[in-house]
Parts: sequence; C-alpha cells; structure tokens
Amino acid sequence: MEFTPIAKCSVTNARVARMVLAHAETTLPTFMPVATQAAIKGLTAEQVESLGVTLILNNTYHLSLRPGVDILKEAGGAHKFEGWRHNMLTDSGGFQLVSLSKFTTITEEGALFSSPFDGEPTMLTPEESISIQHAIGADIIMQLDDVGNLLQGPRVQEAMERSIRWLDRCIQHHESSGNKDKQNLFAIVQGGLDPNLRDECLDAMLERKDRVAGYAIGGLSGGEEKDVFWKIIKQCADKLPEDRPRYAMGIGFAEDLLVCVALGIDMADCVFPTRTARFGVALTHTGPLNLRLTKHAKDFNPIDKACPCPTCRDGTSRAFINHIITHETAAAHALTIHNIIISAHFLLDTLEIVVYPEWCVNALRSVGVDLLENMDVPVVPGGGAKWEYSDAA
Amino acid sequence: MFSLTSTIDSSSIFSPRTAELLLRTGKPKISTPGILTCTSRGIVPHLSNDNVKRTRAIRWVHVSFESFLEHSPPIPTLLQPQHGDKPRLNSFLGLDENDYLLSMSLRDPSDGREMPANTNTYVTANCIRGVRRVTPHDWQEYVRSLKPDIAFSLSDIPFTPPSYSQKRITKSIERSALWLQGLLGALSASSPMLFVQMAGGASIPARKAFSDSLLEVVHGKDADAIHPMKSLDEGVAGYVFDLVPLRLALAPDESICTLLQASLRPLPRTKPRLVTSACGPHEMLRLIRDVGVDLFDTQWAQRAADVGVALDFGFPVAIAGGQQQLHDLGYNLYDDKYRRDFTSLGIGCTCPSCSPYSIPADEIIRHSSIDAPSTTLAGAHQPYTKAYLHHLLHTHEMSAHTLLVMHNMTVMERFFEGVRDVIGGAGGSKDDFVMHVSKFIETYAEDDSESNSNPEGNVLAAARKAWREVELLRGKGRLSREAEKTNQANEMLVKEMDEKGAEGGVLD
Repeated sequence: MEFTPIAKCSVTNARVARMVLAHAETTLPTFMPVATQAAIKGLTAEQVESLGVTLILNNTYHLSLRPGVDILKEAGGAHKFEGWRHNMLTDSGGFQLVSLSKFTTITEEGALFSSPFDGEPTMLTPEESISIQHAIGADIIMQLDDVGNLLQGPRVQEAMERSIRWLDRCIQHHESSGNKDKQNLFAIVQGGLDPNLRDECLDAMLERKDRVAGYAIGGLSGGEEKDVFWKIIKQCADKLPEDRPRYAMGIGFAEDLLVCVALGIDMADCVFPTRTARFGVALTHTGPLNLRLTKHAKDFNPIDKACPCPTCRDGTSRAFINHIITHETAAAHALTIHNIIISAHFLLDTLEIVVYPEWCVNALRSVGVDLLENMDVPVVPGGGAKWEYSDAA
Repeated sequence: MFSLTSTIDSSSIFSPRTAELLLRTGKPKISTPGILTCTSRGIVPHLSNDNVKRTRAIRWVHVSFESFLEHSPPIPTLLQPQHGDKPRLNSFLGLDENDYLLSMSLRDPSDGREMPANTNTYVTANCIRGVRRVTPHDWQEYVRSLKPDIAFSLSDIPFTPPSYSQKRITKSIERSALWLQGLLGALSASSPMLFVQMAGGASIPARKAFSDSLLEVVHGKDADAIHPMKSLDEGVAGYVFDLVPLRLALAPDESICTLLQASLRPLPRTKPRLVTSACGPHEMLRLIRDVGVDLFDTQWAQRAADVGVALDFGFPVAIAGGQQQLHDLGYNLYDDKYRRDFTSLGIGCTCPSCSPYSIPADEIIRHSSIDAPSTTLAGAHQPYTKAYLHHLLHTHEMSAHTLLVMHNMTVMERFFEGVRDVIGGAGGSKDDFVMHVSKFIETYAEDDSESNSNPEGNVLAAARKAWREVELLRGKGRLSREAEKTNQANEMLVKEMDEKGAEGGVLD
C-alpha cells in the first residue's frame, strides 16, 4: 500500500490523503458502501463505479457461506467474481458471528458457532479468517477481533486483550502466506467505552505498527451516547500514527461522518445509507426524507436539486418515487444511488448541513471549530436528525 | 410516419414486412418488426433510469396508466409544465422526449384477472387501492394532459368470466367504436397518435364487424365531431391486439392468427400492427409470418428476467441442425449446474451485463478535484458470469434481475434485427424467412408453459418453480414465516413434553 497524506485542515484534524492499493487508487476521506453478498443491493458494479466509488466493503461471513471459498478461488477472487475493478475491503467475519448467530461462543482459539447449513459446530480462528480473506482477495483485510459492541463489565477488558493476541496470530498468518504485497492487514482498536482500556489497546497495537497497514476503530456504533462516541474516536484518532489510514467501523449517519472526518478519520462504512434507501428514505443535507409518506405524493421537486447523482440529475421527482417505492425494486435502486452520493459528500462538504445536534457542536469544539461562530443555525439537543415517521410529523 | 420498406409477398395483406416508424424528426426511429418495453407503475421493472439509458435496446416504453388511479386526480396530471410544452408523461417518468417513444394504455395488457363488468359509461381498471371506474371522458382528459407519443383508445374488452353472449360482443364493438370517436373528436391535430385496441373477442364475424365500423363513413352530428376525417380509421395510426383476453376467450381448437386476420382483412395494410403479451419468439415468429405483425411488447422476456432466466437465442438460427433434442431458449440460472460456470450470458452480446463499462471515464462522478480518473484498471470489460448471477439469485440479491432485464431486452432487440434482415432480403430469396422460421421452431423448445399444455416441460417453467422456492425461503415475509415455524416447533415440543410428563414424569 502507498498511503500519502496530501493536506491537513488548518483548523480541525481533518485530512486528505491518497491511498494506492493493488487494484486502484482511492482518495481519502471516503465512505465505503457495503456489498454484503457481492453486490451493493440492486446495483451493478458498473453503476457503482459511475458514482465515483473506489472502495467497497464485502462481508467475509456471507461470502464464505455463499458462494463459498472454493468458488471464489476458482473465479480468481471476489473482484473478478463480481466484476468490480476498484478497491475492496473485507471484514473478518467476526462481527456477523456475534450479531447473526445465536449460538456463538468465543474461546481463546477462536469463535465457535453452529453452521447455518447443517448446525455442526464450526470454529472461526484468526488464521481461518485471514485465509478466507486471502481467497476473497480484498485489497484491505481486517484482523479477527473479539467484538466488543455488545459487551459489558470484565468481558470488555478480556475482549480487548484477546483482540491484541489475535492480531498477532493474524499478522503471523498473513506474513507467512505470501499475500502481503497484494493485501493489506488492518488492526482493530478495541476497549469498549473505557478510555483507559482504549489507551492500553492503542499502546499495544502501535507497538506492532510496522506489521500493520492501517488501523480501525471498532466496538462503537452500538447505541452508545454520542458524547461518549466522539470522545473515543478523538482519543484513538489523536494517538494513531499520521502515516497510517484510520478507519471508523460501522459509521454512516451524516453528523457522525462529519464529526469523524473533523477528528481525523479517513474511512468509514455503514449499511445505513443503502438500507434506509430500501425503506424509502432519501438522505439530504437538511435531514432524511421518508418518501413513502403521502405528503410527498404531489411534490414534483427532485430529492436535491444540487445533487449530482443520476436520480436527481434526471429530475426524478419525489412524487414519482413515492408512487413506486416499496412496489418496485427500481425505486430502491434510485434512492440507493442517491444516498451513496450524499454519504460521500457528507465527508467532504460537511459544512452545508443546516441543523446541528448539540453533541456535534461539542465534538467540533474539541478540534477548534465553533460551528455557531458567525452563524445563525439552529441547534437541536439529543441525538440528531429528525426523522419523518408519519405525515403528521 | 410509418413507412413500409419491404414486403415479402406484396399480393398478401398478411405478408411479413419491414418498416420504419418515425413520429417526427428528432424522435427515435423504430424499425419493425420491433419491440416495445413494458413498465410497471411507470418504471421498467428492476431498472433505475440510469440503467434504462445503458440498455440501448430500450427505445419505446409502454405505460399502463391504471396504477396512477389510486390518487384522484392522478398525480402525473398535476405536474405543471416547466419548459414550454414539454410532455408531462416524459417529464414525470424522467425519460427524455428525444430519446424515448412513449405509448400509454389504460389497462395493463398482461393483466387477465377477472374484473367487474364495463358499462355504457365506464370501464373498470385496477389500482393498488382497488377497482376504479374510468369514463371515456376521463380517458380523453388523461391523454390530453399527459401527451404520450402514442395513446391507445379505450376499448370495451370484457374481463368477466367467459364465455360471452352475442349481445355482449355486440355491445363491446359498439362501445369501442363510440369511445374511439369521442377520443378522436376531443384530440387536436398535434396531439398523440391513436392506436386502437381491436374489439370483437374470439368471434370472427364480430372482429370483422368492428373493423368495418372503423371504415364506415360517419354521417350527421357524428361527422361534425370528427371533421375533417370522414371515417374513424382515418384518425387511427395503428392496430393493437391484446393476446391475454383473446387467450381467455379462445376455444381450444381456434387459432389466434385467424382472429387477427379477421380484424385486419378489411383494413388498410399501411398501418402498424402491434401485439401485446406474445409468449416468446415462437409465437412472435408465427404472428409475423402469418399475420404480418410489426410490433411486440417484451413482457415475456422481462418476465423471464424476473424468474432468473437469461435468454440465449438468435434469428436466423446459428446452431447446427439435425440434433435430436430441442435447444432451450435460455438458461435457468437458479440451476446448480451454473455454480461454477464462469462464462458470460451470451457470446458477443452487447448488453451492459455482457459488455459492461461502456460509459466513458469522464462521466464518472467525481467527489473532489483530486479524485483520480480511473485509467489503468485491471479487468476492464469483463462480462458478468453465469456463476455470479447464480449466486445473486440464490442470495436473493436484486442486482440479478437488473442484469438479466438489460440482457434479455438486448437479446430480443438483436433477435428482431435478425428478423428484419431476413425479411428485408439481405442477400437471399424471399422464401428465406418462412424457411428460417421453420428452422427456428425445429431448433428451439417453445415456451408453452403459460398455455398449460406443457406446464413443467421447459427451462422457463423450471425457473419459475426455483424462483418461487427462493422467494419463499428468503423473500418478503420471510421473518414472519420463520417465526411461525419456530412457534410450531415450540408447540410441538411443549406438547411432547406434556405427553411424556403424563406417561410417568420422565422430566422430573
């Protein structure tokens, strides 16, 4: 990997960088849409490329079930299998084991789960996770970590410490595989919401800096308080080295992206923009629009006149989307395209957001930006964006 | 205008022919025999508009208006014209008037479900909130407001259970003629071209009578209404045959071709003949050969994409003859035999699935000034494979159908290109077409599963079955079905435990 920071914001910690990987070049910061099962829901690879996306995420757990490692190997890797010409990142598969399987047990050896096909006990070890990711062939691969999102109490420390031990096993396995020049291994900083544990984890993982290509911040986006969230991100981003990309896992809400970039994050992924599109929600700079609601049925405006996405550029009206959403899959596709573009832009021209949640104001003050200075914008207390649940709202 | 360019047998009005339909300069020119694309709720199923544009086979898009009836007045009619007199329907659907030809009918021609009876004053149509009554006057207003390039007149085609009495059929042809006259009177010269849905059901005399009524010179007050036209037919630009209601009304030993011929025999041969819901290339070829049909909608090919079939056939047949077994019209990509098939859907196919990345790099959206253009990319122009489509179908990924629709539409367009070449006599005798049709029918297995004579016997039927299985396993309502299963299992367990307990306290 070639990672070159190009510019740094004179006020915040936001930075622009260029990352050259085996398949293509990606400009950071970037938002990675999620192609769980080898396709961004409903879109073609060509369509995703036309949106200017240069880095997508595939899920290791799903791909190892279907089509399976054998077929991916025969196809020559996931890039060839799905016709994707740019960069790809795969997760370790660990998170899905915890979130999707009811029977997963974590042992020191690995994650023990019952196979969804035959119910047989199956073990995902750090070595196995890396091997599967080698078969998939993504440009960036993730260590298997002991996922902390759902943990409390002493398990948080145990998970953090185990994640370090597993990182060592992943590094070992990756370096001995001969794939090191094509695939880049990222470490995942754990430690829950406890700053002391995070510090400990950061110290241990920084010791291994020469053997990892980048760092991810895991264990967040699990419903924690926003004021806790941004402080952990800041703590990690501040301590992580300048010459490694920083990846905030599972982050996708507009304000979260804005804050993360200002705090020095380079990459983020989330299913939120694409999933919410399938439920009829279009993201905009002034908040989400629920286009299923009848109040949009006679609105002939495009979602966002200034948006460069094909849906808005064609002038596709809110009324037309209201007519087809939930009935026709193509409506979900039209909104997915839009939401991917908008999410990419949240990372770049974030100052256009019109309503600021209070926590954002606090977070950005920590890096020297006063959102309220010289600006007359409303501040809303609490979590942020106002959602349209019904026509009455 | 519709101009005939070649006719195989000029002594027959049912001869196969080629022609060009050009509404005005700047509109896409449609070569016939050719295709129009079906929509659902105004959209080509599975294709967002950017993918419609990528699919060059899509030039003529047909809209069934009835889905818009859920609001009153229908939403598209409320659209304020923004740039001059831009047609509302184009604006609403986001399809540029210079790139696409739009036609509009009230009913979805592929919908053969039973409906409440039509009357002298209205027809019944379907929308998501139930049945709506549409008067001839309503239809005039919708057509006037939306300005499709081509409007289908309102015809009284019964969707009540057959068979139909003599009296009902007579009513049908009288109303259809009357409503056509009303529409002609209401529209000005610059308004949409009118295609008429040919009435008369499965009765040969009734079909002939309807055609005759189009040609009759109109007198008296009615003549003033359509002045300066002398007969209804003068205002008609094309003839439409909906096969779904015909199949419902048809007796087993009757042929659709005979019915179409009965309608067309008295009429001028210079107008386009359009057939909806033809069941695949076999039926289309027979209708071209025996009736001289010019246009078909691609409902069948689009439905094949819905159920995971990638079409693969061509005209004239390029496969060597003399083989025992008939070839399939395509691939049922649900089939496990495609798990490791890394070949494309069709050799030499130019569709966005087989020849992707035709878009120039400068049309890719850039998110910042330093985004690098993608110049040195590996794997350029690699087609999507059958194995990938197989994977997408079994994981219930919508992208599968997107890729299949673009492919199938392209296969249909290329098929018709071949038909036009043979009829046009590009290097061959005039009997060539009939010979090539026979060869096609002898080479490919016909999709006759819709007609129930062979419900299991071909690749499309197998695909429909596999589609249903995956839909049940992974599709809409999966969670509630799974919850029900879990509940049943729990109940069984509780019952079992109760019984065991009653037998002697095993559980204690």
